[in-house]
Amino acid sequence: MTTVDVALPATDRYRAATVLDVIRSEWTKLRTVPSTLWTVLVVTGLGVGFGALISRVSAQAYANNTGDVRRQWDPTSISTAGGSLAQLAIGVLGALVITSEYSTGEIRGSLCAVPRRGRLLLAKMTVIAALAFVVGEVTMFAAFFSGQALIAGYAPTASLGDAGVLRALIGAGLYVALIAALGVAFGTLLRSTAAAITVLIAMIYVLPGLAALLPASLSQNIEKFWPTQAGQQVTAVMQPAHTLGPWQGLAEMAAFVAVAMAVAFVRLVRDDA
Amino acid sequence: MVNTPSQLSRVGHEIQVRGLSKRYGRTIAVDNLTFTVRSGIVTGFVGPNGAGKTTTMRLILGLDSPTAGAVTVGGRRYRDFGAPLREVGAIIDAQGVHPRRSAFHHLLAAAQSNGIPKRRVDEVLGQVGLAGAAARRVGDFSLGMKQRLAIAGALLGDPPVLMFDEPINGLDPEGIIWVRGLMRELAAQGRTVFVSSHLMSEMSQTADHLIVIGKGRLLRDESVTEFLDEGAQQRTLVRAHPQQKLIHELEAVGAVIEAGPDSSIHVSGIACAAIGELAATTGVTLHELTPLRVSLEDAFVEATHGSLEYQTPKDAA
Repeated sequence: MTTVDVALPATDRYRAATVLDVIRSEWTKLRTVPSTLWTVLVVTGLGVGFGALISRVSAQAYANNTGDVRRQWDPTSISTAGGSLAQLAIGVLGALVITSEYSTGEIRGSLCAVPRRGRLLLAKMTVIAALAFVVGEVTMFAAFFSGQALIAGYAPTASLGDAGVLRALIGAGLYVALIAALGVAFGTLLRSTAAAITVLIAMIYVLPGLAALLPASLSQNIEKFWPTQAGQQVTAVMQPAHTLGPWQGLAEMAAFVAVAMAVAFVRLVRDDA
Repeated sequence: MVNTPSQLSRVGHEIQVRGLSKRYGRTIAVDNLTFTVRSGIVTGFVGPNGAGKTTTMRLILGLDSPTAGAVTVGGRRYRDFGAPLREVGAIIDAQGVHPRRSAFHHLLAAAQSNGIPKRRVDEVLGQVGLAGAAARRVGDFSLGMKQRLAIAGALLGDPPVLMFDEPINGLDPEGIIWVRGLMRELAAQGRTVFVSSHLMSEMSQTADHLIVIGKGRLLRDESVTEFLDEGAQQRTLVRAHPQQKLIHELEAVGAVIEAGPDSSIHVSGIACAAIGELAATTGVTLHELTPLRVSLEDAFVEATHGSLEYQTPKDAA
């Protein structure tokens, strides 16, 4: 066989892949597994359904309540209460974006295709955070409007023009986008779906619940700065006195997610796949 | 052979492994390996299970970081490729696919990540015979179909270098013949084809060159012909009467005698025909004269003996 020893530089033959290519690829991966659609349905179902239930029940009880309950009546928070459950499904979806690759072995193919691992992580995070934001907003607005409709006639309702309402609804989408990103970070760090879900549940529900049992001076300080609780302030129309402001709280949570992501990045880049 | 322009560019895409070592905790998986995989031929990467073949391939692909040494493909590190699937097509784990995703979408995601046009997905699915199964969930695929899908993924970027880890696992006989043909064809196009197997007999069907490792160390780096010649010290099974007389005569000409089964003898260091002539000239009656052929498999066992992590005890064999 005649071999001609001419090697053209490989880059002359094609263009190099970009971050956008990787994002496109990750979106294809996300939308082509059934678990994504199911999760979106669960999020919407929990968010709207649970919100509707609480709205009607609370509104019917409103007439029997007096004083404090009426003063703290917050029809926005009541109609969007389902979000506190739905956020877990979003976090799990975020974790699955990477842990399912470890459990199926797909991660090896992904890293061969995208050896710049930071890019892969960034693309995964971008895609899942964007999906979480859109699903979160649709769910929250749907829950708000259906909730107000169910409250009407029994108790005072809220409207988008009321102080803090629009901010709370938009903030809820941003909050779940951060939860999704946190899921990706935990999934990357732990490489196990079960472990990532456990940490998410502990972070969102268990540890804040335990902290509440401590003396008020201590528990209020923990609640003020605990990342997910600080982040949730943006989703509430009214903030208790001892918490951070809505955007301040969200910024603190974003900073926490950024740190978690940085640690996840180091783990992904330094450790063997 | 006529080289088309695209084939010209494939020449010289060698895999260069230099002083490569990988340690996992206390286990040394790869121990100071140095070799070069050339373009235009099929290079077989052989060794017993656990010899370090997959680890070496993972190091080439940058999935794991070496403890020492370096690997380049076409003179560059894998992670520096702008679109790696256009440079190296690899199967490292044919099972590593999301079971709920269709074959088409699995390949589409890979193509998109490297800026490879969508039409290549249909092309490679056709090339591996999976066009009809494109929309099916990979979880429903047989082992052989998954292997074909993995090969399709390797071909996606039309790369000058191909690396297959145990590509015939799970394939039916027709599939095996197809893979052999494909590997030869890819090499004939001037590509670098690096194929691992723990089955030496498989390599005798496909490879031109062999890299044999055991316990992470390089044992042989030579052409298949050289490998066979080296192992093929002619041995002959002989029964004769009177046998002692022939043994005496054989030893006189420098042959080596070992005891064979059922009072026969194994004679090496002398050609089969020469034994017959010696018997005739000394008046010994031959009852049996059987050349013992050394297969590639035997040569492999010979070469890797002592490098096996788990061995059948001699008595049990």
